[in-house]
Amino acid sequence: MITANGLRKTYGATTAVDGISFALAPGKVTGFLGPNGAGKSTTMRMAMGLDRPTAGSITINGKAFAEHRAPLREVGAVLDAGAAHPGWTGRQQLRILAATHDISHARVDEVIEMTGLSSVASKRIKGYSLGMSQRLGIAAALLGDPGVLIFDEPINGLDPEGVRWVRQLVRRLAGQGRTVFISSHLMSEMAQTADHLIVLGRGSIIADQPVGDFIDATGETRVLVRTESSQELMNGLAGPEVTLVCQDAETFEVRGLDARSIGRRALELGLVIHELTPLHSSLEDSYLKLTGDYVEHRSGGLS
Amino acid sequence: MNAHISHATGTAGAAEPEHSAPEVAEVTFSRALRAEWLKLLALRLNWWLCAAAVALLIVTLIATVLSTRFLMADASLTGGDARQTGLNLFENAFSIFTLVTLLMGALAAVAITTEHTSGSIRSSLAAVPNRTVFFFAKLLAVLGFIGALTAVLVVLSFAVLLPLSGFYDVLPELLGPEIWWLVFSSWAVVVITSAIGFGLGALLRSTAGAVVTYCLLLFSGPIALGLLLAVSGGAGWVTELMRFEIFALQRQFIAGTASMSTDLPVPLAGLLLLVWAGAAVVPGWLVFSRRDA
Repeated sequence: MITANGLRKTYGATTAVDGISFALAPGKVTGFLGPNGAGKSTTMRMAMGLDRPTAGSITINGKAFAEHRAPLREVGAVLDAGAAHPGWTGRQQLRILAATHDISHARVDEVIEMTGLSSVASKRIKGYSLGMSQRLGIAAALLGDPGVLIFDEPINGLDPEGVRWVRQLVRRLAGQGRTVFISSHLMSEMAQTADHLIVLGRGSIIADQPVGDFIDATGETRVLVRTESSQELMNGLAGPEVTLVCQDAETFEVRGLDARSIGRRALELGLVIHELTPLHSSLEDSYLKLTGDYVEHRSGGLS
Repeated sequence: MNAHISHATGTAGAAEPEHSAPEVAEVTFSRALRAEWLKLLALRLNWWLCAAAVALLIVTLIATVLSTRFLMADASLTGGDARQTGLNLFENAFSIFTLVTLLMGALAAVAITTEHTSGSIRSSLAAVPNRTVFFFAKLLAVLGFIGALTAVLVVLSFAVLLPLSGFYDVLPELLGPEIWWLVFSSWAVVVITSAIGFGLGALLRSTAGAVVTYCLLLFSGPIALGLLLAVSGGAGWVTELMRFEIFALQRQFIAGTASMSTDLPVPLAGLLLLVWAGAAVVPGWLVFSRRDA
């Protein structure tokens, strides 16, 4: 369980995290979203004791991270793919970490196997690709078999197989009752992985709810209608709160009415409908809509 | 919570072996120390620095062997006794430990700065979050490594110098206090002075910054004070300051007895060297334990 209470971090005049509070429950994957500079990584670093809060606190299983007697058993974290000396081999890096908790070499070999690093474990880390470094970070995080996992952008640099592996791993870890806290900018992945979302904007929490609720709350439901009598049905559905967007001679989209109301209206008009499909907003749509005002570095338009 | 983990595998969809939860012990100072020791052994740069120190010593020993003939001739002209000549032979060879101090100080600085420059500090503190434990475990491991290496260099020096001094019949009494003090003090000076490099590394985080500052402290101190002495027309307070400069303290400590009227007593010189080391290590520790990693 990760609990933040009035957590705040400032760097001079800049406020990176502005008094946020949340509690992450075990058995769930909690996605941590926000534009660049929103304070996600700073929050995770404070959870791991790397940065000191200016005010407030963040605890793991009821204690500040530094107070745990066997921290690798409590928390595993991937905060940066480059958190290892490039001159060591992957196996050396893991054995060094294992030595701090008297973890066996057999367990080191086990996590190497688990993360698919067996063929490169004896190579120096400076020769690793970003994806291999991410896997090494995940291996280190799993070393102590912790109940809490913190992953900051764990799928950066991974190939599609690696992305799917991380997704399955994260789901499995949460399924075992662990608390999983994961940040990513890949909304499609987060939609498939997370149960719950915390969205930061300029250091403050702007959403803290289940993924489904988040999409429903911020997204806009549309309904795709296909009928041979599209013009007649569009006339029958027209109203002040309804938007109709024609796609082709037989297909149009309706905003402002649900599928049940459209079906009922078609029946009243005696029209045959071939398709009536609710179109939900994607997580990306909802996220961009919610965080639009919080983006600090906005891209220019494409020419 | 230490929940049972059924493993994901590197290849999606592959069979997942069952396993029991691994044995995970609490972090102790000795476990942190062992991890730091493994880090030192795993880093190739450290072995290059060791090789450089050994090469430096070998070159010095060759030069000593070649110059011994002239030392003997000089001794016979001045009528010096064989025992004193033998001791001079050892002192000449052991003077190289001043340069070894430079290399070992750089090694100590790199041991801590490389944690920051490589980013490995994040995984290190994830395993040992108590920064005081981490800092002093690393310091002890680094000084232990340097102490062991310096001991090897001392043994190597003996292996060359003993037959040489025997050949010229100037073999000093092997168990004589002067020789043993020379050996111990040379070793101790390397280890204590290296701690200054470690402290500077913790303070500055930058390898270049720490090594340059360390060299400036060791080499520029005497030069700057010499210039100041000339400019001030031999002011007494400058002379006084020069007694407390690192090089002067090293020389006074190794000399064993106060060889000049301005020299400090040997125990005081040793103590002041420790104060120099503390002056770098303590602020380094305070900054390391309070600053964001």
